[in-house]
Amino acid sequence: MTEKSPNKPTACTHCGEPVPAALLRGREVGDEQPVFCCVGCEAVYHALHESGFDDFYRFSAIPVGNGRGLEVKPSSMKALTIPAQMLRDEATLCEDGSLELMLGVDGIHCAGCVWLIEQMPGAVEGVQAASLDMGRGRLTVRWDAASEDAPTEFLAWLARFGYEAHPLDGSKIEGYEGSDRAMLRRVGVTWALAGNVMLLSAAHYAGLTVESAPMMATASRWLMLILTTIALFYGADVLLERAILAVITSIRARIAGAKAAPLSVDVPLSLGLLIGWAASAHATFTGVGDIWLDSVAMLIAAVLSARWVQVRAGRAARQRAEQLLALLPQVARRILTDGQIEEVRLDELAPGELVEVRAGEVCPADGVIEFGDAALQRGVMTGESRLEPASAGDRIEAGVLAADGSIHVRVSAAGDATRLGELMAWIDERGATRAGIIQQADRLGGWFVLAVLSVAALAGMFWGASDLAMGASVAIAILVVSCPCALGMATPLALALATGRAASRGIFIKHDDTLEACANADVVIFDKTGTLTRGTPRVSVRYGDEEAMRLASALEARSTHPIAAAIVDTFGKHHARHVEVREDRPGRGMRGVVDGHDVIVGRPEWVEATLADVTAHSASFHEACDAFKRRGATVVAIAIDGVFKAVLGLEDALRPEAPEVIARIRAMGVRPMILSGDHMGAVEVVRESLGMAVEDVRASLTPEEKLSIVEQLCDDGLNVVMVGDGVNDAAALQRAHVGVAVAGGSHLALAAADVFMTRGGLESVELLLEGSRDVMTLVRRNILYALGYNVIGVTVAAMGLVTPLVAAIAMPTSSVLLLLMTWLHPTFTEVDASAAAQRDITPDIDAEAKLGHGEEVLL
Amino acid sequence: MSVLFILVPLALILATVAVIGFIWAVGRGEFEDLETPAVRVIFDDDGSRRG
Repeated sequence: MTEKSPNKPTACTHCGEPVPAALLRGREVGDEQPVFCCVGCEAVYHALHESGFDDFYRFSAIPVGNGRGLEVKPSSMKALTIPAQMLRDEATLCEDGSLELMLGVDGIHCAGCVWLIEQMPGAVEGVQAASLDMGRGRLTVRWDAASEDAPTEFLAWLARFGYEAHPLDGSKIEGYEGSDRAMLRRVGVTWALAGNVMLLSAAHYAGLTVESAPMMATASRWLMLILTTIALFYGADVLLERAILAVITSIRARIAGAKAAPLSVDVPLSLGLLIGWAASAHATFTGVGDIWLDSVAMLIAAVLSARWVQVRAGRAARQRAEQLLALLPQVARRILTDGQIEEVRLDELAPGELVEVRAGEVCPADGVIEFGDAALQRGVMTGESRLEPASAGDRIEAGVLAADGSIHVRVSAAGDATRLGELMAWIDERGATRAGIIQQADRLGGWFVLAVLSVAALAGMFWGASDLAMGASVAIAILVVSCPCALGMATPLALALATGRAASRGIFIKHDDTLEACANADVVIFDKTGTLTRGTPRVSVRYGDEEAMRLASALEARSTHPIAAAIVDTFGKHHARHVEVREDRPGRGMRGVVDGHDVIVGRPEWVEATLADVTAHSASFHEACDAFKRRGATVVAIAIDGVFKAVLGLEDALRPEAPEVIARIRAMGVRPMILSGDHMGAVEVVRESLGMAVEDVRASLTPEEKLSIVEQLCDDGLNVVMVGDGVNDAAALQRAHVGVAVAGGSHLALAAADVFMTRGGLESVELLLEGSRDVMTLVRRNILYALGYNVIGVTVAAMGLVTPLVAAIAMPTSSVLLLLMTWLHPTFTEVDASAAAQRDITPDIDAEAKLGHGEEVLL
Repeated sequence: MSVLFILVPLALILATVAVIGFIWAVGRGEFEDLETPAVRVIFDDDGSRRG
């Protein structure tokens, strides 16, 4: 073997990712020149350097968010062609006459990004302020309204550094922000009220009574009542509203004779709050009886806080998903009948019109190509990054990227009528109607109400038989003390904390109840291509002449195609004195002259067709081709000087950690399955290496077959978790109890999934299963604890021993204990996630070196 | 003890001021981005906010 790819990958000067071997040609060892993994990084590096922003690299070493490296998509280097007028229309006018606009920015990865983007006011004329919200990738820009070009210029400026910016749907953001802020306001105000009520009630516990100081006691009681009333009807109005709705629907369902849904935990909660408040109000008015206002106010504050944590954690994951789904361009270029081109907003586009899609742009509508050739990337739909050539007469869908070449498209459907729009609508609809798994606390809620009400009634009657006032007081004490504060907080809090912790490990869970479903998983279905394998082909089998392979490798070094890269990785860059490329046909192969030899590398059919005369050798080569094909490999034939010399088989290699992780998943009692659309041969190889049962691995499936298998499993009563990445899986993902999408796959799979992972790799799947089980254990423990508290509380209250003071101490203590228990319980921490992510980003060098010679190694 | 009739309302007024301040801060979005400010601290003062 002459030359091998270096053992240590050279890191890209800009992003630090390993540089593909093909781009390191002509580089000496110890060379200090900057080197880049892609044109994008190179352009950004030079742009930064020229603008004097070298400081960027000082800050970029500080990772944020999910710790992904900088990735520059060449497509993001082009400024979005949004007309300045449109940006001005979207912007809001500030008091000082400047315009302000919020943009979504893709590609924020480090502190350097914040620093760089906030340099904008000094770098772009007319821009007065720029402020970036790193976590959510939002940039607020304020510019001088008098400056006409500022919007276009700052977009171009951002694009130079590889940041893709697009206006955000303002109304949606306002909706989110409005409800978020309202909730936070409620929490803050309620805590302030509860604090003051507690201070006032402390005086009563210290001995202030209506008898000892009538004036002061009465005044303080009235004050407490006023404060608590605000807390109840301003702070807890959401709770009360939901409880009333739940009761009404339940009654209606019973009247209609249908099976009623269990009452949610809001009902006993609201009942306790209202009764505690009403009894205290009555006591305040009459001056007779106990007041429970401090317990009521504290309870409202605690429950609202738990809800707020929950809402906030859930929203983060949903917003991430939505941002990833901002797929379509904002404007389209319409070609008028006289050949003029005008830019229009997407919603103004109508079927029958002609639009222009330039190289690197995303097609805005469904249609047919009328003019031009382009290589299309249908990743949005299929999750596949391979380019497909297309020319006049071919269909193109909205969301498809025209990687090169400019085309004219006759629009057949626009907006929501496009295939993309329809699929998104379908997913939205399914998402909304899909019955969530009802939380255990909610199921308990109905029983809880019944139990507490009957105990209160019985105890009230028992005590009331001799002393009516005592009977009422005991009944009220039971209802107040049994407030399922712990019960109400136990589940949501544990779930919300787990969701948040999972998100910081790159696992975004869209609904809380997904965790329960994950914990109960019986079957995990993998779609072979994205999750178990690396996704990059490598030479796994070969047949024929070694020298021919080296000559072919020398030729392939001139191509950037993934197959070429795999061949070059295996055979090194042969020291050829003279390489001349004669033909490079994407999807077919290459032909060229290497050191005087005529070399043809490519698909066997194409190579054969190119050969002048098919020699006697070909029979054995045909056999090799067929054998490689049967095992599912991509076959590449090599001919030298018109003679078939060698055959290579390329396969997608299994991730090195896959067998181990599969074994661990199995040890958890979960049955792993593979449902793949690939050839039986390729899937069989994976099955063997993983040691899985034959009936658990299915190949050559259509999306419909996948869906029906998932349906069958669900009907068998199994809890199904499906992990996939392509649109082929979208339906099955939706049908499974939990759909897990791996980011980088198709956007549609992402939308259909309940969970998405920004870190590929099986560890994330394992972490999800393990973490969710852990969370459910915690939830069960919390519920048990809450029930225990309530049983004791109600018993003591029924014995007539609970005074307002006991309630005021017992209730907050139980909540705080529960909070601490939940907070300190480690969830989603088992697997060292940073190490897993590291392994994912940098290819496993050792494994690569071992495989470097293309032996029959399949792992 | 009757001084409490002044002190308690006074305390409540102070609390109200704090609550109003909180509501104002929430309205300004002060609690929305809790990550970026931590990063901004490390930038040099001279270069980070030109203009």
